[in-house]
This record gives sequence, structure tokens and C-alpha cells, in this order.
Amino acid sequence: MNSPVFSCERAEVRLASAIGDKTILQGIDLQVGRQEFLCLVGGSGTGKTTLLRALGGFCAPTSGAVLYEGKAFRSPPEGVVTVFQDYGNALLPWRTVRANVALGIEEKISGAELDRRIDTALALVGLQKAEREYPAKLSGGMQQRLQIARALALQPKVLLMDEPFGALDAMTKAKLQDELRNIQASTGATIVFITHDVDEAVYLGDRVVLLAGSPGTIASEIRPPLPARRDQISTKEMPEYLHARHELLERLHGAAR
Amino acid sequence: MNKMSRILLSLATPVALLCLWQAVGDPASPIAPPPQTWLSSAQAMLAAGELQLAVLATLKTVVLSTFIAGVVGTAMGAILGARPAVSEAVAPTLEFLRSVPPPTIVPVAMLLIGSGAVLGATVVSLAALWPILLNVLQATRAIHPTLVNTGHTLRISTRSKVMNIYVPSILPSVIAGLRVAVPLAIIVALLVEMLATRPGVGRMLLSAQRDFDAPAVFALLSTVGLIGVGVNWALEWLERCVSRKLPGIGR
Amino acid sequence: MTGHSRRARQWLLPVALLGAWQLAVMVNDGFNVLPTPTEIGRALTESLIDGRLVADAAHTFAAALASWAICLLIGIPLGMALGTFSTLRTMLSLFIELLRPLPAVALIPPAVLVFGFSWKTEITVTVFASIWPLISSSRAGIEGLHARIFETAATLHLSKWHTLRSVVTPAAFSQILVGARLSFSLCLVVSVVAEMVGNPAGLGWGLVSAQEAMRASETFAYLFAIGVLGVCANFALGFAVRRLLPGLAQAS
Repeated sequence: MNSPVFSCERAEVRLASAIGDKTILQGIDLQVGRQEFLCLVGGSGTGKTTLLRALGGFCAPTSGAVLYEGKAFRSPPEGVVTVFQDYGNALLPWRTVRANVALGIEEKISGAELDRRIDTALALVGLQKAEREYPAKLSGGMQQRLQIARALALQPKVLLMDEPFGALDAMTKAKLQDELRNIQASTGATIVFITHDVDEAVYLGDRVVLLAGSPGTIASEIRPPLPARRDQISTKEMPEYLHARHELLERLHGAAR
Repeated sequence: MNKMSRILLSLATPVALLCLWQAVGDPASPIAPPPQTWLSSAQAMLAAGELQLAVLATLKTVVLSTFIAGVVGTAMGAILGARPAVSEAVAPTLEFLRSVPPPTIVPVAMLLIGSGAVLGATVVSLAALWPILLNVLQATRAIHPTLVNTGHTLRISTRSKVMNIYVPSILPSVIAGLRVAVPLAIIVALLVEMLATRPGVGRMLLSAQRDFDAPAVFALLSTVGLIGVGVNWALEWLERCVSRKLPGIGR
Repeated sequence: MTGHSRRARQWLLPVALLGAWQLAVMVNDGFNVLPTPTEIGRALTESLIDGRLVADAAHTFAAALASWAICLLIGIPLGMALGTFSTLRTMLSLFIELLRPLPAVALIPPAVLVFGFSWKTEITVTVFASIWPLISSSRAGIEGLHARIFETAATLHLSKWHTLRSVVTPAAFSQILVGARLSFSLCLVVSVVAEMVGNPAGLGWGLVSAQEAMRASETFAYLFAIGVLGVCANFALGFAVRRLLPGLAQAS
């Protein structure tokens, strides 16, 4: 199947506010390919989160279309799971790690199958040892991994991630970035990843889309020719990486001017 | 939904219920007579002058006792609050005394003081005292030490200190204490009237029930309800006035 | 000041007061209507031994518990519904504002008309007077929820029922618990008051009977028992919550 997973056609999102309507996104033409790792970058106020929320089913376009598998939708589509930036508000503090992971699937499956799915998800993020802990006892990085595991338990086709590593320190961030690429390789999920960190976007993505302006539009799109296997040291020294990074930063700051 | 339709919708529920009761209720019922019978009963009581006298008697007790409790409670709370060593020593005793429910003091007071006019004022004041005292105590302790030190540093007079530092800091807590104390005072006042047969709405309620006069019982219940609502609104208004005059004071 | 001497200081006042009380009554004739602490202690022991006090306390506690159970069953869903559906909230807001200030004492005569002097009166009045904190805190619990929690439920594709049961209700729990504890204290107090005037049973009735029979020591003994029951029951509730619902208590 070569049809895109998501397809935005001249999508526009206008939101009501206290001082009148404000157009957040305008003229968005975007396609997200199957099993693609797409990174969205842009300054603040350019509508990255709004676009992700539109893809996630939390916010319908006011004009134009946002289609999932060719169809319009008004609520989170089947097979699409969002991972939020504020993991503290998204995790259930009264449930253990294991029970949190079970949340999305416990209604539909049970018994040994349920245990198997939970174990797989925990193994993918490396939280097996912590399965009896409560979220409050975990570090920020572990909590975010828990949220990812919870999403993965549903075996989603698409993962939408809103600056998931934004609140973490550099070392944890680097570790989770590599884990995420491995997860994508083994599960074959499509990932749309928002970040304001250009390095992260180039390192992680198959394709990087830059949003700019207010209302936000797609300012540019690059596809850095990086290998499938990446690591934090050698990939970041490759000329292709540096070139892509340079280009993006230039356009980012050029767009800001 | 705009404001007007919101008001109408919220009015609709009690009005609809009353109309339903009126339509379905049996005037001769000893248990649930329709609202119109309450109205006629109330009119009869008003004509005989009984209702007004009873309401006045109850209100007199409540207002007088609240005033006493307010003055004593504020003074005691402020004094205790200003001396942390004293309030700490007194704390568990206060906690225990507070955990005795005020209505249960009434029979004990009846034994000690008898069933005269003093009973009402004494017991109700005692009941209303605690919320005010505790609120003022807490607020006094919470006055930021810097504020108190400012008073010392500027060497302002005691009167000025009281008026400009203590009163504005404590006043909201007095009002908050009143909001709890006044409904409590009404409950205890009614109870005193029932147990000690003192004049007031409580006593009228009890005798109406003993006479199986259902319309009178509901009429009196409505009267008590109206008093409660009126008092609540008055206190809310007072609270708003105070917070408008004293913006930024935390409670 | 060390912890020990501070605590010793705290006992100073009650002991001093009790001592002064004992002396004042023994020495001064004018106080002879007031029983001494020792006489009260004796009355307390007697009624404990002949089982009356325990039976009365059990009745009051049972009535309070039953009323509280009813408050929970009606108040929590109603409060949560009020927090969820704004139309319902508008419909019922004035109605609730009119009913809530009705004093429990004033409700007793109408209840006696309908149910007579029975446990039905006691429980009806107690429920009516104690349900309000539970309704308003359940409502506040829902209104205070972060939008993210609903979005999490939506993105995980949970059914509405699952969302309500496993996400919304536990999230609102700590707020609901505040109202539940308040409601429980009220249930105890109002049960006693209802027993004083509306149902001849339990500690409230014991208190009033002793007073009417002019048995001063026994009256004080019952007063003391009421205070103790309140303290113990509230403590037991806190303990039970911590044991039975560890995850939720964690989150509170």
C-alpha cells in the first residue's frame, strides 16, 4: 500500500479566543507516509501542537481537510495514539506501572494475552524492573517511557508525539531517542514527532518539515540522506547531518527574521 | 445558553415540583399536604400574630448570640493567636472541646442553667464561638511576621497597629467564621426552643407536629428555610463587601 | 523547648481545669448542681458495665453509617453528574441552594409526621442534612480535572464507561474523599440530634433521658461518650481508607 497514512489538503485551523478568532494554521498540505518517521520543527506559536492535535483527532480543521487513511474524522482515529508532553498529567498516579500500561487494552483483552502485551510493551521501553512502582516514584525519563509503553501496548499504527523529550536532561534524551528509533524499527509504526530541537529532528527523522509564521504554514521540507542505523556520535559528525542541520537552522532563523 | 434562559431553567425545577405537589397532593393528607395549605396555614398564623412573634424570638436569640460570640471569639482568637506559646499549650484542649457537637451541649446546659431566657443566649453563643475563635486564631497566626515587624519599626501607636495591621488581616476570617457560625446558631437556637420549650419557631414546629397539623409544619419549615436563605445571602453580601474593601487579603 | 516538655505543657491545662472543677464543686455549695469529674467517671463506668452505653453507641454508630452509605450512593453520582452536565447543573442549582440551608433540626418534625418516631426518621433527616458536602465535593472533583486526563482516555480509545470507572472517578477521588469525610462527621452529629428529638434510641436519646430525669452525672457521661465516639469514628475512617485503597491514598 503506497497511499499516505495522513493527508492534509489545504487544512486551516482557526480557534476562538477571548479577543476574537485566531488562525493558527493555514494552507497546510502535508502527507505522512506509511512507516515514516516525520519530524515537525518550528518556533513557538507556529502551530506545531495544533497540527498534531488535528492529526490526533482533538481538533477538527475549520476549512480544508485532514484525512486518515483517506477518511475524515472527528475523534481520535482507530490505530492512532498520542503521547503528550506533560506526562505528569497523562499518567494515572493511582495505578502501578504495569496497570498504567494495561489501561488502553484491559477492556478488550484479558488473562495471558493481556500479560503478554504488557510485558512486550515494557520490554520495548526497558521498564520491566519497575513494573510494580507507582509513577510518582519514577524519574521524568521513566515516566515518559511509561507513557510510550502505554501507547505501544495498543500496537498502534501511528504514534503522535508532542515534544515528548522536551522536559528531560540531555543524557536521558539521547538514550530515549535511540530507543525510539529501535521501537520504530521493530514495530513498524508511523511516527509524527514534534520538537523545537533541530538536532533532534534531523537525528530522528526520515523527513523534517519546518513550520513558520503566524498563522503557521509549511516553510520547508527536507529529507536528510542519513543511513537507517544511527548513533549519537558518528551520525552527528556526518557531512550529510551537518548540512541538513545547517540548512534547517538557516531557514528557521531566516523565517523568524 | 444565555443568562436569562439559565435563570429561568434553574427556577423551573422548584416551581415545577411545587406545582406537581399542588396538583397531586391531597389537602386532607396528614403527611404531605399540597403547598396551598401551607400558605393558608401561614396566613392564619400571621393573622394571629404568632408567626411574627416566633420568628422575632428566634432571630433575637440568634443575632444576640452571634454578636456575643463574634466579640468574644475574635478577642480570644486574636489574643491566643498573637502568643504562639499560649495557643500551642491550649491547642489539644481546644481540639477536644471543639469535637463535642454543639447541639449536644443543650441538655447539659439545661441541667446547669435551667430553662430560662439565659439558656438560649448562653448555649447558642457557645456554639457560635468555636468557628469564629478558630478562624481568627489561625488568621492571627498567619499574619506575616514582617507585617508585625513593620508596625514595630515604624513605631506606630497600638491603636494604629490594630486598625491598620490586625483588623484588615483578621476581618476576612471573622466573616468566614460567621458563615459557619450563623447556620450553627440557628440550629442550636431551634433545638433549645424544642427541648426547653422556649418561644420561637422551633417550639411552634414541635407543637404543630404534636397536633398532627401537617400544613403548619410545612409552613414553618418553609419559614425556617427562608430565614436560612436570607441569612446566607446577607453573609455572602457582607463577604463581598469586605473583600472589595480589602483586596488581596488571603483567607 | 523539647517535644516532651511541650506535650507535657499541653496536658497541663486540661488537668488543671479538671482539678479546679473537682475542687470547686467539693468546696463550694453554690456549684452543687454540677457533678464532679469523679462522679461523672463513676456514672460512665456504670453505664459501660450494664451495657446501656455500648448499646446506645452502637445504635448511633449504625444509624450514622447507614445514612452515610446512602449519602455516598446518591451524593457521589449526583455530584459527578452535576460536574459533567452543565444543563443539569443549571436546572438543579437554585433548587439545591434552597434545600441546603434547611437546618437538620427543623427537618425532624416533618419527618416525624411521615415516619413517626423511628429509625426511618433518624436516617432520613441525617441523609438530608449530610449529603451536601458530598455533592459539592464530587462536583468539584470533576470540575477540577485536567483536560489531559480526558484526552488520554480518548487517545487510548477507552469506552465511555471505562473512562468513567477507571479514569475519571479515581482522578476525582481525593476531592470526593474530602466531602465524604465531612459528610461522615455530619452523619454522626445529625444522628445524635435526631435521636434527641425524633427517635428514642441511641446516644442522643440517652443524653436527653438522663437530663429529663435530672441525672446530672449520667448526662455528662453521655456527653463525653458522644465526643469520644466522634473522635474514634473519624479516626477509624481515616485508617480504613488508607488500608483499603492504598493506590488512591497514594495519589491523594
